[in-house]
Amino acid sequence: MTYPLRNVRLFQSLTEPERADLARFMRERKYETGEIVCSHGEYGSTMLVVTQGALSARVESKNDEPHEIAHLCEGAVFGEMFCIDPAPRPVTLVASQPATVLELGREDLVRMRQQAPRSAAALVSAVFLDVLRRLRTVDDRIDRELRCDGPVPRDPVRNVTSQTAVPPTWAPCFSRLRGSA
Amino acid sequence: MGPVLLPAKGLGVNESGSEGGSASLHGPNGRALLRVGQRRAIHASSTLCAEGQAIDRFFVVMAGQFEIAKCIAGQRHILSISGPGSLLALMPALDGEPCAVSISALGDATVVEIKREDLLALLDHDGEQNLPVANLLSLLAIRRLRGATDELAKALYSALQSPERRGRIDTLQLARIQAGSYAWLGD
Repeated sequence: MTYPLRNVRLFQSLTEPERADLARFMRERKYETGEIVCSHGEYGSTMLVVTQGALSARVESKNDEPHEIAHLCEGAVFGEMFCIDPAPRPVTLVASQPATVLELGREDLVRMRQQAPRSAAALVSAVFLDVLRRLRTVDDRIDRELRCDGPVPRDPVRNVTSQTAVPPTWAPCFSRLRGSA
Repeated sequence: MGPVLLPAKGLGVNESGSEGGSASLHGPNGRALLRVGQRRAIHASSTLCAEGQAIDRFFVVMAGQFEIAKCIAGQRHILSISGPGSLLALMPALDGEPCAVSISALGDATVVEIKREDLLALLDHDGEQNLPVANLLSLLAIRRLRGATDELAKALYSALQSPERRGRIDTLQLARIQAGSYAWLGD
């Protein structure tokens, strides 16, 4: 089951044995087209890796119409922060085609910490460094704005794959604005 | 609107966090982090990092206060003040990019200084301390990223709602959000 994890950018710093440990603690779930994976506002404590198919990340606009803000394809990761620090989901995830995901919950991570601490530390460190990179992205964008190097960028819907950078952190801001404007 | 005084909550005892869930610098995860560093006395007005400078270490404030400032359009603005329990300049220390703000001591202070190489060595080491430190740092980073995203969303929304702002966020407000990424606060 480690093969799908090899091409996931977030796990590139993990060794093969560490990825094998991670896979051991993950569960496979399948979703049909249109099936809701998680809902906006729902308390989330799991990380999802798309191994087949695709998911659509949506927010609701003022007229209750769903608006897609990201398309998660094979190799994409969603919610890596939630298994470390659970919180309400910022989006609704829906299977845009039949999809298979690998899921790691908070409880699974707790077991992993107990049974495979080195691999758990590698995973948590990878998430930490990824979050740090996203913070730097925010910092850079703010700096550009402060130096008046350009307008605040509008984020189109992006296809997120294992080879694509994590969606810019402006995206959740704009998604909320679109939902409330 | 003057600089934001961040509460000195970092010294709060929060030992009861669920496994991996405590972001207290005085809990077991925090102690594991502090063991990596060296305690240093900082004199008043000393600069930990200057705007535009690259650094290779970050700091945990044990006593005293530090101001986070930035030069905007030729004028220096104090954006926030951080006290004990704050974690300063971790982001630039780890990614090697220049600091976008300056951090200076308001008075005599004490910090634990942690070098990037020592932290990375610890995180890479197969021992008992890397997991608690990774837990703590990931929690702090996640909470800061979520906080920054929330603050930006609110600022953008306010700007869009305001006929005067016409969708442009107030510059100082934006700078204060940025400053928050240079001074993280534990539980």
